[in-house]
Amino acid sequence: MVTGEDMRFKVIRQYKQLLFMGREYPYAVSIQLSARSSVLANRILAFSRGYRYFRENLHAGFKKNAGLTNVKEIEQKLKFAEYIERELAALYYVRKYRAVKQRYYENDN
Amino acid sequence: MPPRLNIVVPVKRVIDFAIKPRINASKNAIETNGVKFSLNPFCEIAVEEAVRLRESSKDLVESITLVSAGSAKAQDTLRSGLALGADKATLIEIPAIDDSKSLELEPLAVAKLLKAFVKKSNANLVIMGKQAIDDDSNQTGQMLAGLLNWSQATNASKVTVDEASGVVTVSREVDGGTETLSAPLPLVITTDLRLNTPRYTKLQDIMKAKKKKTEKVSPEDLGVDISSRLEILSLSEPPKRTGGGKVDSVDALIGKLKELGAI
Repeated sequence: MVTGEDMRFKVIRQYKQLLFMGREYPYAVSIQLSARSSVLANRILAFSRGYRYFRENLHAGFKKNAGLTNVKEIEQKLKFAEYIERELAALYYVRKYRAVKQRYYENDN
Repeated sequence: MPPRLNIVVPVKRVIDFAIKPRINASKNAIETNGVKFSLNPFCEIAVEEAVRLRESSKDLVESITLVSAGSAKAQDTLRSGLALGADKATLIEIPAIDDSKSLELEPLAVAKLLKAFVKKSNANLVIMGKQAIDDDSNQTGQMLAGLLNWSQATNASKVTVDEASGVVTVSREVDGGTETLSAPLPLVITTDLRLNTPRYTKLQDIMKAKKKKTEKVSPEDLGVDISSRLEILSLSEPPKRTGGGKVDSVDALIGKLKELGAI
């Protein structure tokens, strides 16, 4: 029997995992965010913006479904969260793979 | 019954792939202050391959040991490798030459350190990245195999181990096709980009990795001289791409081409 406490634990764990992954969420770094600050400061700004954007959306998504009580419904939403997790991991992997491929395998056919 | 695999995976801490490296003010090194570092992508593939070998069969792999030679900060890199699924890690700590950085090791020095470590740890398989994305030497694996007098299979795109005989079969992507090698243990394998897709670490695995065993040794403990044989005279950035220009007529175009000696 699945209790509410179990579900609560699962949801929190899933939220934390997604939040952890959000630290790498990309933001268009090519834009000079502030003309006066240094390259490094811009990079930090870009990092925090990507993360902030991600966190706000993630939080809103979980908040929207916070009132759910039906176990089946919660499980369905958790499945969706797992799907987002897989998609994010794939996004990050492809980003890295393409960067390395472009640098070292450009002339491969 | 062939021995079970004791895998050593050497890893390197490098500037993150997403960051454009910059040259420092004195033009003899890359600026490392305030720059994000992470596990070298090719090393990540190597760790993943070792973990996959373990997952492929219950009794195949006995241990997966990570080793890194670098400053104390390489400890973080080892932890992220442990979170991917390795068992234990050793840091060969290179002393700092000034406040901010430690000596940049040359491939031969790294290979000597690894040789001593591999001998000490009774390993029979080394899986390592083919190159690091910072200095792009692509030498350490080959040198290590040479120093150990082991077989080597570089740029692997597929690795299979026959459990009954202990023979390792490795496919390599070469010009115009695939080359397949097989060799008995012990063996050094270096990984190519398409060998596997490393998993994304779970938060729980990072927590578990904190409890795994890590130890520190110094180059002196391994009896290796790490002094540099090469001196970096200067570094320069690649030339900046200059913009093109527009011409008004065909004659102007021909004139320009003649000027450049193209026709």
